[in-house]
Amino acid sequence: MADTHDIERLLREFRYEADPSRKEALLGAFAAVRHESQPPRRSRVWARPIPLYAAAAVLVAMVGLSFFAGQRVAALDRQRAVAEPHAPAADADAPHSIPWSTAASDLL
Amino acid sequence: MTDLSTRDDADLVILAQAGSAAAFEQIYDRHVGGVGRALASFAGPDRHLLDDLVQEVFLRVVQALPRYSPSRPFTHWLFTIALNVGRNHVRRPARVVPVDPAELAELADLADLAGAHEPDSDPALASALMRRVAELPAPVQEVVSLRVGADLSYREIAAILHIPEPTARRRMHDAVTVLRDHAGTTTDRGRNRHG
Repeated sequence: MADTHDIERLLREFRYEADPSRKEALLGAFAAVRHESQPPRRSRVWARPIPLYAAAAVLVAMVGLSFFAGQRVAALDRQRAVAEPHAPAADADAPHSIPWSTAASDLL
Repeated sequence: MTDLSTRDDADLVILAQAGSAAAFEQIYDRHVGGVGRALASFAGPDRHLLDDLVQEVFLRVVQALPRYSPSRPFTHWLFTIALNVGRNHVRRPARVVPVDPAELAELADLADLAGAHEPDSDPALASALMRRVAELPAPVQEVVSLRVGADLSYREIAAILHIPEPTARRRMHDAVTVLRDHAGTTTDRGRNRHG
């Protein structure tokens, strides 16, 4: 007559072997869940530090502004240089300050 | 490549949570036999149902793995899932179903054979016994499932089922008594029949 331990031992001898296709399906499910938990590739580019992009943009803007400002100043200088030869001559009869030598001789 | 077969469950779970498919595969290979054995008592003779139940257990493991906390032993967590799958899927009567004495006589003969010849394992006998276990009351069946499937101690079984340890021991004893008493009765009848 089988005793307690024999019954338990016999039950433990039950063998379960899974169908290999079931295992493949589970590994596929694992891969799918893992893929869903990762962020999309596109966002990884934008995940880099934002200040780096901002600093580069400011630097480019400063260089650009400096260049165009310089170009503008140069243009104004050329305009001024062209305008100066045509400036009106000083009037000889217009009152102006008396030289000290002339003022002194008048008093004498 | 690192040999994952030597890593314990805790390490494999950490690797699997980090995305290692090889670690998850190792977990599956290591525990699929025990899960199948634990669920066999719920599935009865239906092999396809057993395959479906085992697969559902591991699908739930895949989905719940990120939430698993290593503060609880992995085998406790895994076989709690298996127990829940078994409970949800198997339609069972609330009372004990009387077992056909003729089938038990055949079972007793097989048991005697197993006793007479030292155990080279007899999967057919184990399958027959497992079919009998499927007829036991649910509380008894769950203890048998965890004891022979997960190979857990009575203390661990009691913790998982939220019952006192003596209750877990008694339920296992009840299961063995049903199988042993019927086997013993029909063995005597069989001896008289065969002379």
